[in-house]
Amino acid sequence: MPDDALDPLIHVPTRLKIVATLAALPEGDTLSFTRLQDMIGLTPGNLIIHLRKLEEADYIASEKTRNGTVSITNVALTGHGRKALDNYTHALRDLLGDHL
Amino acid sequence: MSTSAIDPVIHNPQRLRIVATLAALPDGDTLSAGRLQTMIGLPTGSPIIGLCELGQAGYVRTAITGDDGTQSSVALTRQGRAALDRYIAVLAQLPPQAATPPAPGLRAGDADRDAAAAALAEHFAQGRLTLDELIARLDATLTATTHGELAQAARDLPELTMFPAQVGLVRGKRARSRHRPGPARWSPS
Repeated sequence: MPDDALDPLIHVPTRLKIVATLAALPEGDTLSFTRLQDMIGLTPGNLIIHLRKLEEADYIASEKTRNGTVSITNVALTGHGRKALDNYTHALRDLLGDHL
Repeated sequence: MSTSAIDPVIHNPQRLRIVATLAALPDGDTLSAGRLQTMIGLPTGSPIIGLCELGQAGYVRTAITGDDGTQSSVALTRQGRAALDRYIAVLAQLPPQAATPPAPGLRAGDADRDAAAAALAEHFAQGRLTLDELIARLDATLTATTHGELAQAARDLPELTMFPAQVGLVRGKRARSRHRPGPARWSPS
């Protein structure tokens, strides 16, 4: 992928929002699936599909924890994902240059 | 922000490239189609696919020029410029990326030590530290050589939402504006 290309995995508006939301967390922090769903306003099925795509690319990591009978899925951006967002932001900044 | 607010006409990578390129021109300037092709990295002669949608949305105006009618020129419309501004404003609303703290082993400079000391003073002012604790931590902060040591002196303190100096500035401004004389000051004497 050339340096100035916009990462198509991040460029999709919904995924851009997911990645940006997760990147706003300090490194090491995670967000529960339901909280992320509330913040982004997606149906669970929709969100799962986007998260799976991001997980396949190793941009995010998810962890399922069992708390008694309730199981909670926590999601976090990986270092790789953070770097990908950095590259994406730079590419966008290069493209829009003076307009930003 | 709702994701639907991202303008899909502009968001497409190639169209974004076209709009950004055209927006860099001074208002009223046009670009020949051939020049635009080169600027967005397309080989000469290949069709500029995104132009069609941009034209339909009213963001781009294409005009046939030249005597033989084979030259065309492209320009951003006022509507297109406004759409790009809106698009950028929407992107700016995305949450900012959390700053990655410097590695603990990284050497700290005077500015880092001063900022850390100012933060401790603000925590003292907000009642999180006693005077003795403040003094002990200031000692540790001002002699710290690495970011790890700076972090250690602030280990159990929450993040300050605003830089202390800024808090003071805002308060000062507000206080002054309250005491400012009314409109009488501006009337001719």
